[in-house]
Amino acid sequence: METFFSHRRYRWFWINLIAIVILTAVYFIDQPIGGRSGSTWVGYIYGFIATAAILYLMWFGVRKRSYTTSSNTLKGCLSAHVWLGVSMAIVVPLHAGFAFDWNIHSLAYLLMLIVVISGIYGAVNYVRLAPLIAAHRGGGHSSELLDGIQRLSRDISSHCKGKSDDFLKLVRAADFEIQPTLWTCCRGRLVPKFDSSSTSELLAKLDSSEQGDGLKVVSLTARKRELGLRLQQDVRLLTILKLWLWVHLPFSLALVVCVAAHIVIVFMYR
Amino acid sequence: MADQFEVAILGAGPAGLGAATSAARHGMSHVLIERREIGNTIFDYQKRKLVMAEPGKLPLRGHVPFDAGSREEVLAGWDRSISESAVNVLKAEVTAVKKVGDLFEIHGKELLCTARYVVLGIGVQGTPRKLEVPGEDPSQVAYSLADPDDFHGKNILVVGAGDAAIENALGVADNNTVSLLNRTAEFPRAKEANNKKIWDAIGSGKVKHFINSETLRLEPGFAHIQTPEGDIKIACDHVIARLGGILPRKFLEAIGIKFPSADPNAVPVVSKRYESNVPGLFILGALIGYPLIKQAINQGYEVIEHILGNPVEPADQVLVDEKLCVLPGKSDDNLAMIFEALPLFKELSEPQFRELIIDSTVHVKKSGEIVFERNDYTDTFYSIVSGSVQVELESGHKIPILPGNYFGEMGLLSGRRRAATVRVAEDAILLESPRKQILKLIAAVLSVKQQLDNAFLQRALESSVFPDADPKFLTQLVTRAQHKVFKKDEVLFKEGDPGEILYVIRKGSVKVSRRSAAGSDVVQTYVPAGNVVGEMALLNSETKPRSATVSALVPTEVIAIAKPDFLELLASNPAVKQRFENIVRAREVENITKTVDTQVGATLDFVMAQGVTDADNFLLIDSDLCIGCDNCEAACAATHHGYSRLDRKGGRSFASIQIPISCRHCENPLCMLDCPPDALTRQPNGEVVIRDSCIGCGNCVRNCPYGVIQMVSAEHDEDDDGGFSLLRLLGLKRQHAHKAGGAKKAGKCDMCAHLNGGPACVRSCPTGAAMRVNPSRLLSLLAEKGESQ
Repeated sequence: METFFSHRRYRWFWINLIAIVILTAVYFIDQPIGGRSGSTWVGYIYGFIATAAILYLMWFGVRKRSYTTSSNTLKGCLSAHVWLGVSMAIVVPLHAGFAFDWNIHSLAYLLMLIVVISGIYGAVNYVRLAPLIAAHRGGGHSSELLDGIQRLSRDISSHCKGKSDDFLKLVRAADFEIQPTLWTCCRGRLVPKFDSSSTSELLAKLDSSEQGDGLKVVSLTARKRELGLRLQQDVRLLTILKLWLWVHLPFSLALVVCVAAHIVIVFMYR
Repeated sequence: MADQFEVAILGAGPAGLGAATSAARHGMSHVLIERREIGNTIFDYQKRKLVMAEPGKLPLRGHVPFDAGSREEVLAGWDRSISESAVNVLKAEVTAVKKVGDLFEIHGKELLCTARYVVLGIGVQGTPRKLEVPGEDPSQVAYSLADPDDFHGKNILVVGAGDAAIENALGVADNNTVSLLNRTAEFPRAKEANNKKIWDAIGSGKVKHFINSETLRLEPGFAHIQTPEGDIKIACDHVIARLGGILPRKFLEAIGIKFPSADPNAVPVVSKRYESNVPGLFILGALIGYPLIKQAINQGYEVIEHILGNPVEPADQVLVDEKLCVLPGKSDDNLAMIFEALPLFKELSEPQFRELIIDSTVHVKKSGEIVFERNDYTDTFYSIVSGSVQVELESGHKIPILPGNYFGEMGLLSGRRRAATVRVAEDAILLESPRKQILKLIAAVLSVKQQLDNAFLQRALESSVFPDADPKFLTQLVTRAQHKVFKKDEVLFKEGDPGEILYVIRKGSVKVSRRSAAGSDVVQTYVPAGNVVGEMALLNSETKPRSATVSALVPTEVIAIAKPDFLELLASNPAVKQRFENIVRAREVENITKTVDTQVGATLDFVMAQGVTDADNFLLIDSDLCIGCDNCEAACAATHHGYSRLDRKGGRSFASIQIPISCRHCENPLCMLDCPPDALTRQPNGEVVIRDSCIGCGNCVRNCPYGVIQMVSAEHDEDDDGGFSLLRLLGLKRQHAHKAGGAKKAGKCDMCAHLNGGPACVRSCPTGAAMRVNPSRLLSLLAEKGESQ
C-alpha cells in the first residue's frame, strides 16, 4: 500500500537525501578562515536555502485549500512537505556550523525542532492509526456508537421509575456518564472505571422483588459500557490524529517570526 | 354487369385519399371503397386529439390537406378535399380481390367492380393485436379509445409503448389513475413529441410506468402483472390495449401477394413505386411498414402519377440524396448497392430501408482510421457496405469483420461501453445507424432481431471461450441456444449441481460464489454482460458437479446452450475442442489452487450489495489510509459553489472499504429515465452530467437508488471559483451553501469536468485514500489487499 511517505517510490525521500548528502559534503570540503559558521558564504547560502524551504513548507497550508490546482495532487505535496521538513533539521545545523547558544538564533532552531518532531509524530500516526481506526470501527461511524449509548441510557432510566433507593444506588454505581473533556479524550478515559464488587454487593442487597429488574439494569449498563469503551478508543485515536496540529501549527508560526527576527538581527546588528 | 374502373382504391385512409384525390383530379375513372368512415385512421382517435404531422422535414404532396391540428380539423379538411376533387366513394366491405386476365375483380357480398389497377391502403387498424391473457373480458378490455371523457375516477391499465398507447394513457390520465405497461424500458417506436410528453407524465407521477413488464391475467377490478421485481396485482377497472395492428396476411396472400418470411411481423416486398409481386397491384402505408400519415398521403399521390406514366420520384428522395451525396454516382444506384450489400436488412421493405438510410449516416473511411475506441460510450450501430474493419479486443486478439456484416451491436443490446476498438482494415463505406432506429427495426422485423441476437451470442462466445473458432461452428451453436430471463437474486445454478448448461450473459450481471471450508457461501467475483458462465461443466461427457454457485445480481437475460448440443458440435471440430479443453483446464487449476478467502468474499458481497457492479466509476475510500480530515468534502464544496456533492460519513463502509454517497455514473442510470427536459445525459467518456436545462422537477433525486442527487439553489456566488482566497484560508469568507432564495436545480458529482486535473475530491486527499474506480479496478484492489494481509 502506497502511503504519502512512499509516494512515487519514495521520490521525495531520495531527492532530499541526495540534497543532504551534497550539502554535507560541501560543508566539509569548505575550509573558511575563522571556522565554519552562518556568516561564511556557505553559511549564507545554506541560510537562504533553509529560509526558502521554511516559506515553502508554510505554503502547504495554502496548497491544502487550493482545490482547483490541477498540476499535482495533495498527496504528492504532502510527501514533499514531510521529507523536506525532516531534512531541514539537518540543513540548519550545517548553516550554523553547529554553533548553539542561549540566544534567539538557537531559539529558532529549537522551535524548528519542535515543529519537525511534532510533524513526524503526526505523519507517522496518520499512517499507523488509520488502519486501526478502520479495523476498530468495523464499518460503523462513531455517531452510531453515540446513538446506541443514548438509547441504552433512556432504557436504563425507564427502568428506574418508582424503584427503591437501594435500586437507584445500584444504578448510580453501575451506570456512568461520558466525560468528553480534552484530557479524557487524550487519555482515552471517557468511561470511568467500573467497580464490579460494589455493584454485585448492591445487587445482592436489593429486595427480592427488584432483583430481576436490577439484573436487567446491570446488563444494560454493561452493554452501554461496552459501547462506551469502543467510543473511547475511537475518540482517543481521532484525538491523537488531530491534536499534534495544535503544536505543529502555532510553533511553525512562531518559527517564522523567530526566523525573521534572526535575519534582521544578523544583518542589522552584526 | 359491375362497373369497370381504371383504378380501384381500397381503404379511405390517408394513402387511399391521396390516391383517390389525385386520380379524380387527373380525370381517371376510379372508385374509393371503404367499409367504415372516411379517414378511419384518425376517425378512431380520441376526441379533440392533436394529430401530429411527422416527419417534419418530409414535404407533403398531392391534394389532401394535412397539417398538425385537432382530429376534428383534420377530418373536416379531408372531407372537403373529397368533395372538391369529386372523388367517387363506394361504401362496401371488400372480402376478396382476384386477378382475372388483365383485370382485378373486387368482391364484396357480390362482385363490386373490376379495375385495371388496385391500390391497397387498408392499414392494420382494422385488425388490432389482441392481449390474449386468461380472464380477458370484453367489458374490461378495449383496443381503442374513442372519448377520454368516458372515464372518470377509474383505475386504467394501458398496455403498449407506441404512439397510440402513449396518447391514450395521456388522454385518460387527467381524470383517472393510469398505469402504463411497457414490455421494454423505453418508447423506441413513439414520435419524439410523444416520447417527451409521456416521460413528463411519468416523472410528475401522473402515469405509473411499469417497465419490462407483461400482463399475466385479469380478473374483475384487478390485473396481475409480471415486473422485474416480481409478480404483482394492481387495481384495474379497464384495460386499453394498444399493441399495434396485425397485417391481414390471409387476405393479402389470397390475392397472391408474397411475403419474404413466415415472420408474423414481415411486410410484403414492394418496388420503389409500391408495386407488389402481383403486377398492377400497389400496396401503401402501414401494410408495408410506413405508419405515418404524411408518408401514406405522399405514397397515394406517387402511385397515381406512376400509373399515369408521369415521372415522379418518392417524396423522401431529397432526403435520401442528401444522405448518399458522400458517395460518387447516382443515389438510386447507391441505395440499391447498399441494400444488396447488407443481408441484415434484406427483409425490410424498400420504404423501411429508405427510412433507415435517412436516419443513418454514411461514412467513407480510409484504411487505418478508427471508427470508435474501446470504452467509448457511443451506442450507434455500424453496417459494413464495402471494405472491412478489424475489431481489436483488449486481449490483443483481432477479429476481422467483412463486408455485409455489422458491428457495435454489443453496446446496442446490453447498454455497455464499447468493448473493443474498431479500425478500418481496407477502405470502407460504413452505415452508422442510431440505436433508436435499430431498436425500432428489432421490434418490427423479426429477422433483424434474430440475426442480431445470434451475432451478439456468437461474438460473446468467440471473445470468451472460443477464440479463433470456425464461424460456422459458432453459428451452429447459437442456432441451438435458448433465451432465458432470471430475476434479481435468482440462482442460475448451485455449487454441486450436475452441470448441464452453459450460459452467455446477454444483459445484466451475475455473482459467483463458492463454499468456504467453514461451509458458508463466499462471493468470488462478479461477471458482467457479454461473458460466459458454466463452461467448466461442459468439458467431459460424464456429468461434473458445478464448482460454484451463480446468481443474478440484477434482472439478467442469458442465452443457454445445452450440453448434448454442445458436445455434438464439439465432436465434429477437433481443433476447437482442443483449445476449449485447454482454456477450461487452466480455469480448473486456478479454482483448485485458489482458496476461498472469506474476508475478501465478504467485502465483495458488501460492495455488490451497494450496487457498484452497475457503476461505471464510483468514489471509493480506502479506510486503511483515510484520516477522516474531510478535505474531500471541502474540496467538493469549494469547487461546486459551496455544496459538497459527496457525503463521506453518510456512505456505507465495510472492512477497509468505504463507499461515500457520491454519483457512480451508473451503466443504466435510473436518474436519466424520467428527466422531462433530457437534462441528464451521458458524455462520450461515460460521465452522467446534468445540463443547465434542468427544470428542478426533482425526478432524478427520487429515482436515484443511491441518494447521490440533491436539489441545490441555482443562485450562487460567481466569484467563488474554489481557488485560493486568503479570506477563506483564515475562515473569514463564508461558503454560500445556504444562501436563501433562487430556484433549486438538481446537483450531483460531475467528475469536476470543469477542472483540468480531474475530480477535486481525489486530488485533495492528502493520503491517497480517496479514489475513483470502476468495478474491475475494485476487484483487483481487493485482491491486492487480500494478499498484503
